[in-house]
Amino acid sequence: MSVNLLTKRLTLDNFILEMMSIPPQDLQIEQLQDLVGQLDLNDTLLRQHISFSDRTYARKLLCRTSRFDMLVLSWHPGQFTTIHDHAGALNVTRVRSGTLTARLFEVYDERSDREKLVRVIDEEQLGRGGLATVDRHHIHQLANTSDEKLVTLHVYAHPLASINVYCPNSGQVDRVALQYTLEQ
Amino acid sequence: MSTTIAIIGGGFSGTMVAAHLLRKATFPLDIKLIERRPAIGKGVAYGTKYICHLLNVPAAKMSAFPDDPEHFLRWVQKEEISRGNLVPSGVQPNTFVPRQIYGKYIQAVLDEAEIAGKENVRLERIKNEAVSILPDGNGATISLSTGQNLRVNKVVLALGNFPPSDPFVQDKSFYTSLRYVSYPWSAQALSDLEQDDAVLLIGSGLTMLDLAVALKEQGHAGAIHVVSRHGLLPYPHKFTKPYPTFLNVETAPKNIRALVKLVRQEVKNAIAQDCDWRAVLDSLRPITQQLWQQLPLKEQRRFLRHVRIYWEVHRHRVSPGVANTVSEMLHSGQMVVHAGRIQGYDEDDRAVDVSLRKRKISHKNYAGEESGNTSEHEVVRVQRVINCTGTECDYRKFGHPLIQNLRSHGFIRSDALAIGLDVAPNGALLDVDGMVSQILYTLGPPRQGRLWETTAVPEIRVQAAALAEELLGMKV
Repeated sequence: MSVNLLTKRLTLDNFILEMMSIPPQDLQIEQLQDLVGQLDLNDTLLRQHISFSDRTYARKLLCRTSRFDMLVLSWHPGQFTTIHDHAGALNVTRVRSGTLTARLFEVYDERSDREKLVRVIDEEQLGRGGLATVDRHHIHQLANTSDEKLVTLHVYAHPLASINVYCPNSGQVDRVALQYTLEQ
Repeated sequence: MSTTIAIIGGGFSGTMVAAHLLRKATFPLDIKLIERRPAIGKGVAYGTKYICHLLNVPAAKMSAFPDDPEHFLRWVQKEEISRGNLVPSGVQPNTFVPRQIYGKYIQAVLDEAEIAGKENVRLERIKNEAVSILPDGNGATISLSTGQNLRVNKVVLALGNFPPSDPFVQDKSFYTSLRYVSYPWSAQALSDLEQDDAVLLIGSGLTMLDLAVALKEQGHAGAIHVVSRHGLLPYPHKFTKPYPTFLNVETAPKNIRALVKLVRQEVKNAIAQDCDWRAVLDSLRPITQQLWQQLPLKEQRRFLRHVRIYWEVHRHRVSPGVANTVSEMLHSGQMVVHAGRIQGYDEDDRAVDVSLRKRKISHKNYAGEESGNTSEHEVVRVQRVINCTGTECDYRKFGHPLIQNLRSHGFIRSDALAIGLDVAPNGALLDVDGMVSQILYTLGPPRQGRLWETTAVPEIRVQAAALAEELLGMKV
């Protein structure tokens, strides 16, 4: 690989170059995890995308290329995502500050394509620098179950157009198109 | 048919309500104790990993049960028989025990109550987070963050203390820096520090002292700057002979100026009789809530504005051991206390320059150190800034989904002083129209507006016992 192996901190520019050098069909979750693990977390651009909202966790698109999306999510204590999968995209999440709760789910009753009942099979807590990986068809949920604010960095490869959301009570699966909050 | 009571929050308040329900229920009861942290009973206060974080009250006064004052002392001494000394010289009635141990005690109290409870009284510990509550005519539906719903008859919000708010500055961009720790109890608050790094602690209360002694415990050698508006530190405990009650609730003045004057006068009398000011303040403890309640709102506001800071440092005292450690840090010059406000931050690759606007009046703290008044502005250069300003209690500011949800539906409202929630005398919450709920109850810190004195074990244990009786319909 390139010069980045020499520096511990990967700048955003170099991250983009690295990602563009790997053909999308060859990208492995381990490679993505490696690269996200090297990103500079005190990056000014990243910091500009931190913003908390009282209504729900705030999701800000930091960068989108043909190969990936990079987002910064800011969470008050108690905020959480739906239970969802990424419709075929790889995802690595890195904790910038605070503690992230990552839950993994499995389908235990598949009634149809659009009706699947899920249950938690794993839950882990990740501290600063911690990485959570979600493979192409994993079903997961992220939450801030701590007492302090949480900031996380998310990379999705390929860019996310939609996700599948699982209703824990009815089992209904809905495809939801994603909207991003762009910089003001 | 069985009744279901949900308790949201498994810190001291919630765990004690559960324990009392287990002990007192005489009919089939399901108790659901919902806590998002891995451990029940520890809360923020007793979940610390530092052994130097001591209780701020001696062992003989920390019983979980108001009617059995020696309960904690007996438990801790029994623990010592099986596990060896928990503190170097063994726990005596006046020992300040590490807070970790108290967390274990609360767990033991709950376990014991569960074992001794009747067969048809069941406790379920739910490790999850409640994100909404929808009360209706005969109960409430609680939604958890993983999507399940619980149907219950009554709900106790045992929410404890909330994190501090970031101190106000014009340019808030520094608050996104990795050099800034917004939550002092964060597991990472003191990690990745170089031994010689300079640290700024914002706030000078008990939380600041906890951070300072934790820095000491991990061998920190760098400068520790402390800034707070008045630069006042909590006073240490001292064992003194008790002082007789000098105020009668009925005849006590209903304004703050006269009350302060009376207390000051009494302190003078006490010192003349070779008594300590601490004993005078302690004699007020049993009637503090009543004195508070009979003050008009205007006077309560006046107290918060002018007297609170002095009340806090005299009333919420620290163990002599911690005070000694901090005194040494002050005398050696490692710790410097600044009285004033933060004006702004200027960060570069290596550190952050924090500009302080200093207060004109100076005080002497218990270590004899003067704070303030040397120059009007000062810049301190530090590698880390930790917010120790104390718990935020304005419920209108919380982004937690549960609070958001209850507030947006009008099921709760802040008290008139916005230092807690509006609560009836029995602990039931008031909705936005002032209607007393038959479903939602609370105890501990959210009752601050009503009671003022409601954050420490001696008050909360009484509330927990009374609330359990209320929920079980044992009150006439």
